[in-house]
Amino acid sequence: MTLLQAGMALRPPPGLRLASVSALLLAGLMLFGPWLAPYDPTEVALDLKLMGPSLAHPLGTDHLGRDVLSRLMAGAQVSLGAVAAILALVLTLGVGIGSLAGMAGGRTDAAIMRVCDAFLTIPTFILALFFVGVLGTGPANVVTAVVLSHWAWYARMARALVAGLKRQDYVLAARVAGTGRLMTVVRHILPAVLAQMAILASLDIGHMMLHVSGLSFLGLGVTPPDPEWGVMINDARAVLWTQPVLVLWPGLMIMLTVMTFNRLGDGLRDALDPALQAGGKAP
Amino acid sequence: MTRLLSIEDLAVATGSGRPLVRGVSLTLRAGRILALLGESGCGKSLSLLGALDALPPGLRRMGGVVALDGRPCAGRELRGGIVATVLQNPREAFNPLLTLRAHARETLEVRKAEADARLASALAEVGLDDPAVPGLLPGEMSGGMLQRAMIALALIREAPFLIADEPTTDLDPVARARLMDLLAGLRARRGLGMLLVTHDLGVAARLADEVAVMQGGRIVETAPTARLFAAPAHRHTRDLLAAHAMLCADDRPPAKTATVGAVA
Ligand SMILES: Nc1ncnc2c1ncn2[C@@H]1O[C@H](COP(=O)(O)OP(=O)(O)OP(=O)(O)O)[C@@H](O)[C@H]1O
Ligand SMILES: [Mg+2]
Repeated sequence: MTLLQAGMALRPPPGLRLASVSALLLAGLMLFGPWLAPYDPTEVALDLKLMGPSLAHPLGTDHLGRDVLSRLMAGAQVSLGAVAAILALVLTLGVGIGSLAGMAGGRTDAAIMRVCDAFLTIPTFILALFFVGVLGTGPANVVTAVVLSHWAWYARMARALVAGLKRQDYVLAARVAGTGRLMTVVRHILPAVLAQMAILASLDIGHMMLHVSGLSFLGLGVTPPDPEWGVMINDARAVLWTQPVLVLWPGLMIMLTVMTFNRLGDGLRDALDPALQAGGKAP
Repeated sequence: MTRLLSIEDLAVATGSGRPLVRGVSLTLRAGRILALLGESGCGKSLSLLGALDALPPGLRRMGGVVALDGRPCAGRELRGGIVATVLQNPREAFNPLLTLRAHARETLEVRKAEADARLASALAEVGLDDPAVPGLLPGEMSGGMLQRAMIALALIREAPFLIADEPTTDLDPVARARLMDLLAGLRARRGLGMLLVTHDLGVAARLADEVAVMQGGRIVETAPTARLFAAPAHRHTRDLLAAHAMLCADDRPPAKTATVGAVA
């Protein structure tokens, strides 16, 4: 409710509104893409392969004669769904573990932070590759691998925020007013942490997207013939010189997603930062 | 009915064991005002927070007993319901993202409508009766308004004791005088027992029944107000009084007259 209030108190700038619309469209595509797609995205029709745009196939067909538009729309489910799942898991894990460390302080804090450090020393993509190697391929394992290679960044950030916030006078005020420890955390610490983490996450969506597509591109994530944007780019590689648009479409979708959420993150940051700083010293 | 809140031999130290407050004993009685005087950094705020078991992270309470009518109590039992607290810096004592109304609902475990009604009456009591006030965010209120809003929030749980940490700092003379009237009125109407932490001898002289003087983390003298001002026993008290007298002679009439003038 706090976030909502903060959101209502702040009028979003037009750029942010545009990005929100785009994000909504992408979300719609993620939820309903496979049902909205005009053709079965896996239906092979070799006699129709590598056709240019036409009325029947607005974006043409790929090397197996599958409808590119349908594959893009259906692929959104996995490409965006994986990112949504990663985000939800990374935020839950990161904020949960990080807040615990920040609230507890002392040895608990130190122990958790050493574990984080271990994860942070290895570049995320290498770490994700390592986890896929351990877990095996497939979309669920790719999600797990990306989560495992990213949660520590979020935990560190959340911990730093909590450690600063718990020293704020208004947290002390809530405490002397008789608010319980858990309630104080839920009402005064978590909303501010989540607001900041949402900003971080929305800036990071592009990065995760590239991870998922990158792993799929390497053939470790979604397996053909299932549609996914990274897989589509990989498929189109063979015909890159004759049909470059086949790489272009999924590439554009990835770019649109990345840009949308970067803009959303920037807007969120601009909107929330002054509000968070208004009442207290920066942690 | 609660009558007596006593703090005995309270000590606060840093995590590494460096003592910040030692052997602090204070007694609050219903309907009486105790002023705690002392220079900046002598440990006044930490004594209060220590008594309520609400020390900032990194500090520890090293001992001492807080008793309610003779029964020892943990800080958790006291906070909010028995002892209302007004923190030193009102600007930072509100969550910048929550309205006054949301703050009030948080402290009260009653239905929303009831909480809102209680907030409205507490706000009226402190002179903030504009109906827009409960919907304001802290950033939309002035320092003086926040100070009074903070007192209103402290009042809504109808705790028998009120601890106010420097409630008159940062207020202009008129607002300061009004605040003193407010506190005097609260004592008269509600029979609150109060602990007023202050640098301001004028506030102590006008409101307090008793004054405790603190120096370097210890209470060096406790005496009824009139006696303390007429015949200070401890050297530090004399120094404080002398410094205040010098200030008053320099640039403004003695605090007492200023207050009376502003109230009228
Ligand atoms: N978190 C902390 N860690 C270590 N030392 C602290 C901490 N908080 C306060 N102190 C020290 O404890 C002493 C007492 O602080 P306190 O806030 O009680 O002073 P005060 O009497 O309320 O002063 P003021 O009138 O300026 O508010 C100060 O010397 C301060 O440096
Ligand atoms: Mg203080």
